[in-house]
Amino acid sequence: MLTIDRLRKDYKALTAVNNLSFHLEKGDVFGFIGPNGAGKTTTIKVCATLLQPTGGTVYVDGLDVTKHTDEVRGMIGYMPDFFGVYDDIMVWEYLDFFAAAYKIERARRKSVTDDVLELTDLTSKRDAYVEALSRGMKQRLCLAKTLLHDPKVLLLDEPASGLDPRARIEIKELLRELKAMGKTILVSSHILPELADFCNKIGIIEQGELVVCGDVGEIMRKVQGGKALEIVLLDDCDKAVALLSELPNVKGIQRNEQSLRVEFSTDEVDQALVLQTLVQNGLRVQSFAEVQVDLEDIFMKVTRGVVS
Amino acid sequence: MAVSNPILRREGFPRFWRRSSPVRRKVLLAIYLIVAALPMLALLKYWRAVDAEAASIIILPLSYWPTFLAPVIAPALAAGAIASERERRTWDVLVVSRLTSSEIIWGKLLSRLTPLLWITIPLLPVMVALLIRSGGANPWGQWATGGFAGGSNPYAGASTWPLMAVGWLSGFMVTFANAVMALYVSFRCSSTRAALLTAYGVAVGAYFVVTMVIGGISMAIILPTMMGAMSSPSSAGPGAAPFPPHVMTWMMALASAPPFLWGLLVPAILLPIMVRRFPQLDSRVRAG
Repeated sequence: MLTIDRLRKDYKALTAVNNLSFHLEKGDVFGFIGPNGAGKTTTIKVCATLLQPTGGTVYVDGLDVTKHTDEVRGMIGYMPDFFGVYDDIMVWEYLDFFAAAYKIERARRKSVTDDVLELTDLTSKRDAYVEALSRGMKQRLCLAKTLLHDPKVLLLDEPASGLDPRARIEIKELLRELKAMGKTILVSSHILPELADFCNKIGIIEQGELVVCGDVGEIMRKVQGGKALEIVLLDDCDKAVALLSELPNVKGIQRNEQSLRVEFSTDEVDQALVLQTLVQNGLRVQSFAEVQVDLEDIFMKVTRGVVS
Repeated sequence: MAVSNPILRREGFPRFWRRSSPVRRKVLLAIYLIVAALPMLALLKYWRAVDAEAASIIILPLSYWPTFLAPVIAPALAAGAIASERERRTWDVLVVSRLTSSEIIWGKLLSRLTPLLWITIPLLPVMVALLIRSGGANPWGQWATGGFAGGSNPYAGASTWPLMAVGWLSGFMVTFANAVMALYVSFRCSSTRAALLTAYGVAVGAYFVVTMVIGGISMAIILPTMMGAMSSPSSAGPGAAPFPPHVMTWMMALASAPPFLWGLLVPAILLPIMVRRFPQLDSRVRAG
């Protein structure tokens, strides 16, 4: 549905995106992660036909974005990271304007507007002035505008940026609904935990280059290189460290006061053996659980922390 | 009649119009036309009191609207058309819609010019009526030759309709050209303030250059004729025209050449550029 092939974008002396390639199938939800200045927004804007690439090609449903601009715009929905609204205009007028801009027939505009208002839970704000809406509602309104023409691909640049926790959860729920509707979604964000919940693919970009890309589970396994256990002890940890170091396949042990993080080099973990070893040697175990590696861990491991 | 361009519909009409029902819009339009027709109705009522000379005098300040005021106001209206969208951060989502570059450009241009249209509509019939009343006199001729004839109009009765039409047409063309130029500047500027200053700088600078170059050439041709006519007393006696009407027409036509050239060349050059190169004109670095 969305194919980026060796994309490059230069701005005078700066290369914002360099040799970027990835492919999304229909229904994929792709989390695009990277620090500020990494090239996320530039990539999204090229896909949205706002910028001309310096090199490479981008295809949306098989159409080159530079050669079939009008058709591509009919298939994509773009939500920028920073956006404004028009003054002195009501919510329904704002959506009606964009419905006309997307060439939706006059007879259908009202029903389409009502549908997206209902989907984004803004029906009660239909006659409110746009500039009077809260930040979270404006974000939902922008998303509603993006959905008017029923696009196949959604390009969302930090959709939860600047929102309070409740508003962020509301946006996440909305995105889950859109995922259930079969939309292909490319969403960029700095806030990694919110992406992990509903993305099936991720791409981490740094200084214009894609560092890692693929299925979330595969990347996690690949980066982590095995599993880890988090153990909290009530007794002396030094003895525990000495005992566990002698066990097979233990790759590393990190100590943090009374807790230990034990990493294994293989997927197959004899967790029972670990617990048994500790208990048989008289150590009292307060908690014993497998560590769930999250996107933040992956991000910190694969990036160098270089900001453009 | 429905306006299909959404930009023109949103920006070209005031809020109370947009939110009115079709019946209410017809009522509002009728009220506007009645109010706009009041000067014309007043003129028809007091037609007899307006003689040719008075008509000529009234036409002169009214002529300032298409020939001077509208062209000066047009850049101020159009300079913020695109720049303000960028300032408000609404430009990107507008560009990504299915509106073509022509629709965006024409929508912005015409919506910015509609206020001038609402003022021009009631003025035009008044000016035409006064012109009829004045016997088709040339107000510029009146102003230029008044000193010779002691206030009487030596060109009364002469048909200067083409000249008046040329003057108004060139004024409207310059107005349109100035709006196009300001829109192009708005494309290239990131703020309304910068666009406004640049548009007026370009309008004043380029227009004066064009006027001075073409005007200078015109005067080089006209001046010897004028000097010759002024230095030789007319055989028809005092109060007569210093030179024949056709010469006057020819001189006024030449004087109108610079605005005509501006009015023709600017849209002819800039509009295709904007339509073809849109949105690549927007080439500022976008960090991400």
